[in-house]
Amino acid sequence: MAATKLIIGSAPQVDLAIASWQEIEPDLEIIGIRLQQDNAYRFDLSELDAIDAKRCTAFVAFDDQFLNFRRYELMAEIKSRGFKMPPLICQGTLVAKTTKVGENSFIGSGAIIDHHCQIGYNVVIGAGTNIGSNTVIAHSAWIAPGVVIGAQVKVSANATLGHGVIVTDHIEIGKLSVVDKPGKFSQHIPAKTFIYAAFDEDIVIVENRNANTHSLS
Amino acid sequence: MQSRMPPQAYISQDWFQRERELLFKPLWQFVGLKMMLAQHNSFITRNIGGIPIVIQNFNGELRAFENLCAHRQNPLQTQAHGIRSLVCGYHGWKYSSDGKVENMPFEHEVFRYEQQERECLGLKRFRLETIGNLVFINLAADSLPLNAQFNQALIAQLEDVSNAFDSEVLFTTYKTKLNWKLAYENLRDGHHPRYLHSRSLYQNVRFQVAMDETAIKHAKQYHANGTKDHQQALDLLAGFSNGGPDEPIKTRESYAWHEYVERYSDKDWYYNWLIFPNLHIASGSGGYSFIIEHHQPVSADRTDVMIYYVTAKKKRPYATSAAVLHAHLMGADTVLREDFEVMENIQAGLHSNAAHAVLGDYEYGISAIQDWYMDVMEGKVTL
Ligand code: FES
Ligand SMILES: [Fe+2]
Repeated sequence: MAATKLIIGSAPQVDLAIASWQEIEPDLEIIGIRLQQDNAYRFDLSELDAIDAKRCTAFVAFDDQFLNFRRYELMAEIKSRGFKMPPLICQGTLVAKTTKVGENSFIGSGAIIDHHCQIGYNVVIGAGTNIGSNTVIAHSAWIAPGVVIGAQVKVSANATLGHGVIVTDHIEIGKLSVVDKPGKFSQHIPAKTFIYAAFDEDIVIVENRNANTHSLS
Repeated sequence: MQSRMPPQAYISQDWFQRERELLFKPLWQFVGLKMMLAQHNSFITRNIGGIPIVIQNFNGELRAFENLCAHRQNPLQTQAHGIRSLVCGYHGWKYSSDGKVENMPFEHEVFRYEQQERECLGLKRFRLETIGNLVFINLAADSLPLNAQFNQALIAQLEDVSNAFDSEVLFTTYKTKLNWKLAYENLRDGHHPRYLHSRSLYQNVRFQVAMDETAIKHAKQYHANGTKDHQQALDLLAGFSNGGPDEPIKTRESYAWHEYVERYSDKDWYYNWLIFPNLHIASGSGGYSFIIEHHQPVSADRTDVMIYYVTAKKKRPYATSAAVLHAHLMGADTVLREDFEVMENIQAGLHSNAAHAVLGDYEYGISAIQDWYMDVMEGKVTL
């Protein structure tokens, strides 16, 4: 059995993850690795080379940078080195028995997740979040603390829900979308749509493939 | 040098209406990117000069129409962009590529138009031309040709650079409280980044003002004399749109995604094209990605700033392309808002007795445009 836990990522997230693991497993030996990024956002992972993946489990704690791809890339890198990456389900959560949680996911204190939900890998669910039954949160999504998500919702891969967001039942949040504007959302949000309180209009990404047009004057 | 522009040019709604007629109507105006119109039935809608416009792809041909149904003026396309045939949602009239009513459900049962009246039913069409992936329209039936508004060298460059644009486009609109002319003046002011963008843009690109003594002399002569000559006015107009490599980039980072796109150039330069009256294209990454900034006048004190971001053409799709575009906008957002804030402050302070601007020698580019603009607005030359 692995006796040591490596927690790898950016400083504030690593600190939170260490404190949370200590609460649920007081005897665990924890090594925190706080990574720096260079100007092109690359990580220096050389510290990991000396560590034997069979003797430790690992957890990646990183924010939503680059639409959650940075955390995804880091997790993929650590996993490829052979580390097991069980999820971190913090103290005081209420996660129904029929709900499944994937590898390297984080469920913050006080979160309530109802029955028959699927939480993918590498998901971050902030403290006090409330998620209704039969909801799917796909991999690498980021849910800020206190977000309220209804039943039978789908939050697609790499999506981000910010503070103060309420998603009503049956709604789908598209892949890579960001909803960071307090309020109730009762319409589907297409993929690659970025909704911010500070912007006058939604930011959208359009891709229209067949580019063989010509113009008439 | 005292500017000829009175404060009314920025704040008066009557002035704004006159400007629409005298300046914008005869000019070719940018409306959007062809990449967003690539498929049959793809469309964009815009409001240009107070007229709702739809640009629609009919089997590969782009057409510009007034976006109002000939029946009872319901807008035909109600979204900003999408893929949908040109059909009115109110009573189902469908339009063909020549703007005629191709299908009128229950025509003989309920409409029963006289044959002559039926034949005249159709949409108002506007001239449309493209330069590479840039789409322009003209609201006047017969005004200057596109190649009189822009010179050949610029057209060739714009064609070249815009053909390098990828098909995946990020798009948003900032609704600003400023007159559109403040935006073009700001873009032609190479001296402000040192102060206004000292913590953002200026960290990476050290913009230098170009004290072009010949151009300064010409601007001063023009300021003293003005012009009443049509050809001279057109020559000046063509000179207001230009660009290319601007300043070297201090340190250009290499990002992983750079390998996935066909870079437009091989120089680590800041590229910058200013296209009069209201379009700006730039690459802050040495040709890996581009911002297209379009200042759409809404009223004397409102301008919709439409921002598009694209990378150079992808070699193949890659998972993080949306994150790359998103990161570009988030990076530019700081600089854009620094500019908007100062321009909105100027706009808010202007009143009908406010003093005219006093331009320094380095502002010769702004001065020449302002003098030309006043000649147009005072009716000394007609476009
Ligand atoms: S208004 Fe368009 S069909 Fe009647
Ligand atoms: Fe600026």
